[in-house]
Amino acid sequence: MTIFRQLLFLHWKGVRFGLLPLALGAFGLPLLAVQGVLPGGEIERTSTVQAAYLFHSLQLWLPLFPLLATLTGATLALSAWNWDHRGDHVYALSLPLRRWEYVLMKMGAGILLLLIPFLAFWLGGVLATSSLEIPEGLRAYPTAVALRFLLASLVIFAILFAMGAGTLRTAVWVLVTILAVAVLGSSVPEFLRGTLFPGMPPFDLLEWVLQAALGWPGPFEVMTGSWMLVDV
Amino acid sequence: MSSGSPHAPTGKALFLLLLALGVPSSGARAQETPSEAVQAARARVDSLLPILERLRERRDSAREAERARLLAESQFPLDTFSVGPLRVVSRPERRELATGVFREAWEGWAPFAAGSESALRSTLFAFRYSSERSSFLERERHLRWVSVGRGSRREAIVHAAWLKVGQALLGGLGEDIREWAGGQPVVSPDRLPWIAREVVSAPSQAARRCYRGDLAWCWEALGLADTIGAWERWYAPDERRLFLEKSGPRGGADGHRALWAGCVEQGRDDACGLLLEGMAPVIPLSGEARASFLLHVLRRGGEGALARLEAAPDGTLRERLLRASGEHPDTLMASWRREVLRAKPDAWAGLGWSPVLALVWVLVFAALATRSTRCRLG
Repeated sequence: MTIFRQLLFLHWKGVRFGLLPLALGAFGLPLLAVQGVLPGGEIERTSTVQAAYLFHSLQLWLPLFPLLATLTGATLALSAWNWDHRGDHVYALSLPLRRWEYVLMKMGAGILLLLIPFLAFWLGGVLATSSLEIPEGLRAYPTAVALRFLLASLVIFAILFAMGAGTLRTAVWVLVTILAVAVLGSSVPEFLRGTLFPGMPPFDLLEWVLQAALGWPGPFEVMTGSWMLVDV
Repeated sequence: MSSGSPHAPTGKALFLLLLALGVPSSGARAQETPSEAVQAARARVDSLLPILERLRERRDSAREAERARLLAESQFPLDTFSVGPLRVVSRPERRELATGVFREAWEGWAPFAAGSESALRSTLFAFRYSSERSSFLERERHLRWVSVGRGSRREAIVHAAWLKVGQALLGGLGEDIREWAGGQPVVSPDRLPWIAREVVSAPSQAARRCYRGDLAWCWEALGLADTIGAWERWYAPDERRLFLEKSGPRGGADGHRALWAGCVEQGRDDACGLLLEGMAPVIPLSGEARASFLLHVLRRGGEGALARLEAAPDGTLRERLLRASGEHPDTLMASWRREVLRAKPDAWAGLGWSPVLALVWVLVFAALATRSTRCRLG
């Protein structure tokens, strides 16, 4: 437990200047998303007009919610291994821990720190929606969206944490593979069908990978749900 | 392509033919009473209809011949075949897939499109993967592409074909219906959640009353009511103001700008009223919502619903839709409203299983992290 606390402290020390703006952003983003529809304007609005303004404003800000979740997960994951890379991973060898215990403790510390922007986002969402006059027929979903934010940032964190745990060569291999699939995923199967394997059924690797990643039970499935802070 | 065919009569030729045969001479007109003249003109126009039909047939067969010639000369091997009343073109190796896909797509329309297959007569459906090279067929006006990604699931391909078949079928409906449905009379069922959002949040008192369950207002919100006084009925004063705010000041006339500023910035209803006076009322619910109602009417109408809609060009649009559905107005509208509101999105959808799934992925990546090269070196 003492070691975990130390690892948590180390991670916090390394990431605080990156994490605090993200937490502030997570708190402020839901408030910004509804700022144009808060009551108190010169001309009074009926609930239908309020609903139209609200939907318009939310749809403008909507893409930033998953983007912020991605940034949060990436920042925490990449900062987790900073000190280790700088010290050539000697520090971990000096601890009375097996390597896998060390990795899991580091991951746990990162997940714990992830709760800070999550709580900020949830509080921001609750505050934003409670300051609104929610029009008839609509409901606020600050908890559902915050939960989605947490899960999305958690998955991004886990993926990049695993990549960061490896050597630079591993990270380069992974990135090159992703790039290769993106660039050649459609054309290579088609080329093979046209030349070597004419009987091969049509197949698009890129599209298949995208569908597998974004659909159930892919890792990014959580990103594709509703991020509407206020919805029907 | 086909317009250049020597066998295809042009619009101008038809017009001249009608003019030559249909316009009575001035001498004859002087001896006839007005009603006799009308009767005579009607009889002449009626006598032209078989000629027109024959010309249409010639035009279609000319188009078909031209298409067949181009297909034969094409550098791409293509196969043309029929699936029910649909004519489909695809590469020979995709024929089996295309046949199955279009059969399923047609089955989606067949229950209420029986008797209206003629609308598909001049349409050719082309199936291809989106990455495939285009060919001369791109220029064919009566061609409807079903273009899908190679990794697409079969349901997605069937859905794409279903949409195209629907567009061809309903494209033959009268101009007024197509215009009312926003120009695109077929809407995908996966748009229903957005239509539900629209019914709830459209800035219109008519839509709001519809949402609350007053079915008469649903007809109004869909624009299937009298348009006289519609601005006032459909929109409350601040809703009208919102509409004008969104559309912005038109033209550079100072008077118009002053009215617009008075309406939008000072909230003066009289200024809004003056601005809207010359404008046709905008139907509260979008073309998509209206198209969903049209599809609902056809589904409720069942067998021959489309033919009934086509066969009754007289009467208001509302009457024609009711005739096609064969239902009582309230029953029809209540079922559409129920269907739309039932499709409203669930913000918690997926969140029941998502935490479990996310946890599984976190464990997978944690295991990968512990198995990294560095661990093995350690």
